[in-house]
Amino acid sequence: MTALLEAIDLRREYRVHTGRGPFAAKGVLRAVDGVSFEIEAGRTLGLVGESGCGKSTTGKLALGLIAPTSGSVRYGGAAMPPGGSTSWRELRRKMQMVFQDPLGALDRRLPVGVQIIEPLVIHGTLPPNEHRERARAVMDAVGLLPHQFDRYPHELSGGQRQRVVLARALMTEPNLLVCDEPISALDVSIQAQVVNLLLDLQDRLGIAYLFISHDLRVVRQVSHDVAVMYLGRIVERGEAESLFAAPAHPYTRALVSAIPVTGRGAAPRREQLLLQGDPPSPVDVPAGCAFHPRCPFAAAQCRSEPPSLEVLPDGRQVACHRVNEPALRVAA
Amino acid sequence: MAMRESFPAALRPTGFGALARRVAGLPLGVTVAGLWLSAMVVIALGADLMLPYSVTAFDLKARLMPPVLFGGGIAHPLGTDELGRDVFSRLLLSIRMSLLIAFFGTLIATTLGTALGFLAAHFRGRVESVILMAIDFQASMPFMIIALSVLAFFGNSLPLFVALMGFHSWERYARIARGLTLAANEQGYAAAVRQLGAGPGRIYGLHILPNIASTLIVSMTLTFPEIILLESGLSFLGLGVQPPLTSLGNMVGYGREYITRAPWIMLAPAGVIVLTTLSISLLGDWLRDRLDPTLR
Amino acid sequence: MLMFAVSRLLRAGLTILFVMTFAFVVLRLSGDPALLIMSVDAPPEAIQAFRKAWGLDRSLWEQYFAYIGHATTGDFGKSMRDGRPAIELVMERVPATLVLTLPALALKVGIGIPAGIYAALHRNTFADRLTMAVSVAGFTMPSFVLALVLVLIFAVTLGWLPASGADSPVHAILPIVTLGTAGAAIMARFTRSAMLEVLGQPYIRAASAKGVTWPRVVARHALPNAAIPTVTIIGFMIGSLVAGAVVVETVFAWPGVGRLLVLAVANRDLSVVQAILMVIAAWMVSANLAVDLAYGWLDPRVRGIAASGH
Repeated sequence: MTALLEAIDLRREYRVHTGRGPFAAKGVLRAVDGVSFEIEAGRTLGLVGESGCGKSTTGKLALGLIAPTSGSVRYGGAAMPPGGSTSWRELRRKMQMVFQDPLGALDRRLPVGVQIIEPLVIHGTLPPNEHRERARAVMDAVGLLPHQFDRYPHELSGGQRQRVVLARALMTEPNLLVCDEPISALDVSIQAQVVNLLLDLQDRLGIAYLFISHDLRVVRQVSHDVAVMYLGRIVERGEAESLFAAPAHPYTRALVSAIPVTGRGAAPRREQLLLQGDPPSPVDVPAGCAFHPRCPFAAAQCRSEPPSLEVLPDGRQVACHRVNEPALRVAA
Repeated sequence: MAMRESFPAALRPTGFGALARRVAGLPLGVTVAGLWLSAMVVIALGADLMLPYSVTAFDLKARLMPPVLFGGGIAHPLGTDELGRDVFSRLLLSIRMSLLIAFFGTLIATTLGTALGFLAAHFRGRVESVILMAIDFQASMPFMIIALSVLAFFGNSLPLFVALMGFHSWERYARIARGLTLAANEQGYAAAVRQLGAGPGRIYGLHILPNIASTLIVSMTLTFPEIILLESGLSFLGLGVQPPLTSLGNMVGYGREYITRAPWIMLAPAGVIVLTTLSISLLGDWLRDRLDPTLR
Repeated sequence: MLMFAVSRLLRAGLTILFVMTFAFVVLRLSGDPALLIMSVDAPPEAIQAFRKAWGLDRSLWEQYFAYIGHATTGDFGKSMRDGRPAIELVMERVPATLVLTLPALALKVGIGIPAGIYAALHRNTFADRLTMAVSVAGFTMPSFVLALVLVLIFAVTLGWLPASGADSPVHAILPIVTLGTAGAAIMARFTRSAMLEVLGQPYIRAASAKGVTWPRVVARHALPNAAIPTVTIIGFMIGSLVAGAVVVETVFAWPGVGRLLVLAVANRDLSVVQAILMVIAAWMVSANLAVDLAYGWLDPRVRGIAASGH
């Protein structure tokens, strides 16, 4: 089955000043450092990691919003056109982004209904007299009431605004939605509603998601596959349930062990894997394995040679030199 | 009347009554300023039709007559000058000239500045650096000096002069446009609409421009009086509007000769300058409070 | 601090270079410099000599560098009117302008700042409203109107002060007052809003709550912090002193740089205009530099950022 979206060895670098003043030293910020993945139609790939690991940049690269320094993106087998070009703009019908801040993503001066209809106006896929009809249908699907069509963004709640953004994204019947921290800005109770909505839409409409988040519990809930990023590289990739149940890479293990467990003594106490040190800056990526300064299992090889993603027998991909040593594996 | 008040707001009849109520709710200073400015605009548009006398009409029997309450007659309400020409008529034409120059100058400055601000924010990189340097340069030199230099080199013709006025304070608009566009692009509505597939025309025209319009308008209320002051200063020095054309500034310059014998020739246009800039400042302050409470 | 000063110095130099380039470009655009700077009836040999001296027969880049070279040494050619080097004419008038502008600056700062502080400390009282009303009049009235009104009152009607000329110190009174008033009004408004902003900060309330007496709170916490934006405005005022003087010197027939500029523009005496432009640019850039350095000294945050970078 050919993947809907393919990312091949994406790299994105930025030139930055590491000091102040006109004579400051310059460095290279490797936001994304050799990332490859596929997204299948109708399935969700979750992308997790700490702040600054490059997940948002990866999302933008996947859509072609920014151009990679090297590497390529293919959609439906064809290369992604350069951002801003006419063919790229036409491709927007099929792929959309949902941002973290719904209030920022909406124009304060226009009623939300007008903004929901806007994709139809831009792409001209439907005759104008059918726009409102279609908007009503989509609003209904995301759980908005018809009278909210005329409301302004600041008159709605956070959850409603995110629904508006979703409705707008769905108007042209896209195949792929890149969701960049779509629920981080919402209240916890609303988060659950929006997550259920996303799952529901995927069931009914067969949309694929690239779900970017730092919240592992939510990612576990919505994803079929998960990729874990650290300092611009994917360190582990696999099927969601088994990855969370039995994480292989030390970083993933640390992340998973940090998930708070509710209830007293209900689940068996997991081993807590604590990381030392602070996350280093993406300008100053350590040599060898990027994770080695904080890894409790770091060996000589880890300090000199960067590991590549190895495919394990069960289909899991892990980038760690010591992944096959049974002594380091802990039963879930 | 009582019946009307008891209707729910949505059903209340609109029209003149509602308008009158809103006007009555304005502070006194703003109302007076508004009235004065409306009068000025009417004069600017219809000066030709309102002239009691032709500006060049001599009346040597009525030389240097004082204004109506100071000894003169109603025939020349603001008095006459050395050659018997009516001061009031000249004042009307001067108002028109000064207001038109200020209006077009403001328009040019706003359009030029906003366009450059958009270009800087859209293209970034070297284009942005050049525009930022130009902004810094403009902001660091007093415009009077720049204007004088240009007038020295290029001489003085009315179109050139208006274009020159249009270069006053364009950097203000460029800074606003660039700053607000960058904010809208980063994580804002402009980025969202762009990734919907909208082209630049739609993004800048339908989304960004309406959102920054109120900030731009507030700045225009600063630029307009500044151009009036600048133009009248230059015309006063003899370097701005040249005779036979007349503006408020060059009328004051002309009236300076007669300060001992006929001070009204100078005081009338001077008074208009002060009242007009004062009115716009008051209006601008009020507008700023209403439209953009975040600005101070 | 050193890095900070060096970067500011470089920036100052760059601005002056920019002004020179601006003058060069405008000069080129407006016609043949030789014919413009030398008067029409100069002998052809003199025009040729001028052309050679300024490299007008060479390529544009060479002309540009020749121009910059001349400008840096202060050579802008001779005045069209009396044949003396332009820079000489300008420099000999600078003292006269300073006689007006420095006392005016003292007035602006000496009246404006205390008035603004007083208004801020007594917000919404009659004194505050009065100050604000008067200050609005101060900056909506153009300087030439104010000058003429003062002349009308004090010279024509009352006869106390002379209307023009520069023969005695008494002649300087009206020009200085005219120059100082508008600036004082702006200063008062600005100081008031800077003070109000500082007074609204939480740390002021905290200091007061600690038990510090109010005058001490104002003196040790409010004023120093309000000084920072105020210094910027003073810097800009120093920089634009000459611009303000242009009109006032003309009204009062005061023989300063401003009046020279107006005459030069009227006569299209380009070498003098260029010379004045350069002198003003150098003056403004120095004033801004001084303000920037004062800023760095006053505001530890600015210093701190500069110091921690390498």
